[in-house]
Amino acid sequence: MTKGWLVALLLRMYPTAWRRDYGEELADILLLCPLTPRVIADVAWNGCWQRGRTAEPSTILGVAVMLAVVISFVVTGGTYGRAWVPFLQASSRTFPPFEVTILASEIFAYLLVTCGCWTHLRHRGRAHESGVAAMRMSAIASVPVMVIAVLMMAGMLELKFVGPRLPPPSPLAILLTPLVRLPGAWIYGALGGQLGKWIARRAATRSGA
Amino acid sequence: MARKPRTGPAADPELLIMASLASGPNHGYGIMTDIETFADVRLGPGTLYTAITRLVEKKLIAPQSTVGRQRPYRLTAQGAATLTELLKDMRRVATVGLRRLEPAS
Repeated sequence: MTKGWLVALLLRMYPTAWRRDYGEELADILLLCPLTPRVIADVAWNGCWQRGRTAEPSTILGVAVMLAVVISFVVTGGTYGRAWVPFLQASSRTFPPFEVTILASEIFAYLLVTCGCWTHLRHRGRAHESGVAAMRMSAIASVPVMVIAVLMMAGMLELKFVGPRLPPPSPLAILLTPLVRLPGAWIYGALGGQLGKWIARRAATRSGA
Repeated sequence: MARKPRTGPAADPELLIMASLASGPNHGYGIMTDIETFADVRLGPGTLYTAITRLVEKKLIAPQSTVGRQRPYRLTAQGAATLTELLKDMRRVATVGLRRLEPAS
């Protein structure tokens, strides 16, 4: 019973399409083998690898930016208060606080363009599809910001802002800002799609020559 | 005692799977036990199926119709040619290397 549950859990780490093709066979082997830590680690690692291999560019870049946002919160811990103080407080081992304008930097705009370009090169779709992919990436990257806004609204987290911007934005504004930025993300993604189209054409011309 | 995992070209999962299927179609568990017997390499089930996925995508092996819950795989003509090429390359390198290691008579 426990083994069957563990096998099912391990299989959930693989993408749905992969499970449809190979899931039953892998499950059979796992039920035959002793589930040692080495076997579990092997299956889990390969499941993550398959997910990464088949993931859409918007998911890969969105998760990467999301992690960067989370890490930036931790690294600039000295500016965040109350409930999370023991975890986030600045110490001699953390970097000094610096101002981060979340999801508004030029790097983020370049990443949205990259997402649109990559999506076009993978699917050869229209500009709209690249734009939607960039919106999806932006939405994934915004998750920690929105979670923090919800925690602030619930009174569980107090955020102190550094830099010249006064007064600080309200939790509702923090919650809504990522949603308001989605149309902008679409534009950057569509531009990236056009860039991808240009790259694809150039590559086709070169291979034809 | 746990065996030390082997590394190098002779422990490459894709090569081992193709070498195993050179003797005829086999299913995942059969391939895994066969590799353990002839190469002394124990492939993890995740590694085995990741390599099988890649080989199917490259059309070097192909799935056959399912027998019960097990699905056998066979080496394709392209797979056989690729395997022959790889093994010839390995033999050439091994022959030269071993000859050079022999003490000069």
